Amino acid sequence: MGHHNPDSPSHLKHYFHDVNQQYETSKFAMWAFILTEVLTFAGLFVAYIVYRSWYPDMFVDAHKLLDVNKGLMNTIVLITSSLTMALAIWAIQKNNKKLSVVMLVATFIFALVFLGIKYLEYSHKFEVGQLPGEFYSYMGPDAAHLNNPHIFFSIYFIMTGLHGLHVAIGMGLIAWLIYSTQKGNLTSEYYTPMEMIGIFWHLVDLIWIYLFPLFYLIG
Amino acid sequence: MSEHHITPLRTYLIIAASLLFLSGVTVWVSYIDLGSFNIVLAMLVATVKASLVAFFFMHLLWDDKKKSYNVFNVFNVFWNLCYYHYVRYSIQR
Repeated sequence: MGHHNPDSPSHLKHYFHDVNQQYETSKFAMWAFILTEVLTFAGLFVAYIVYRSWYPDMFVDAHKLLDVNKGLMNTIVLITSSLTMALAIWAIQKNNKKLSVVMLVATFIFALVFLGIKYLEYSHKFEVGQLPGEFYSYMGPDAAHLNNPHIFFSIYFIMTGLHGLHVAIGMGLIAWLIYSTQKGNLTSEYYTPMEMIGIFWHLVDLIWIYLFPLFYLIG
Repeated sequence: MSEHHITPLRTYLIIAASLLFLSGVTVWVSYIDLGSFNIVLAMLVATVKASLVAFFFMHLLWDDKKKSYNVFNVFNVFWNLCYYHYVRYSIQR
């Protein structure tokens, strides 16, 4: 680090030429990651399309076993959390640390509410046996005529489960942002981590925007 | 980092309100029987919502145009993949 400019800000890593290069590198890497995420979910969307084309009637009838109200509530919760995340970044850009922390805490709470509602849905499905593959045991009158409904629930649990995992990971990252912002490590001069985690959080919202109509609103 | 774009507060509020409104619309139209057009409409609304999130919340609108182009290409790969497998497995059945 001998040739490092003593005037350069403390957040500048020694292996970058300047803060702009560091910022562009972070952003490029984040978007590369986002695109691999999109392709990961693409495989699952293909599975959905293929199985739905094989069992069109079963998909339409099996989706009626899901609770539209809980799905819509989670949609509203996640959109609102996307707004509070964007506002946390807006606040730190304006160097309003207090508002930024409040918005991050709000985002964290909305994420918790999302997983709470998801937990209610999952626990009900575990109770009645609307489960993937061989674990499926639901024999209610509204499912008696269904042709292989366990396939619908396999895809439902894999896609919403992987999405839920992203929400949980996002909560961990947001918790770290709350700590870093509160401590004063992130300011209007340097808030790249908040911007990058924000992009991740909006992706989580974006995926749910597709999952909601595909599972809760079909037919 | 002084050249960073700061999106006005009003823009974020309008986008969030539009997203909530479109969520209501998509639930509402799902109760109307439009046959096979239901899924087309649902995906159309979802894509409008996803675009609002990507362009405004994820700041794609204010980013380098070259990146927007790359993102667009990956989404193209995505949809082509879906379409290819859909046709392939439909024929196989």
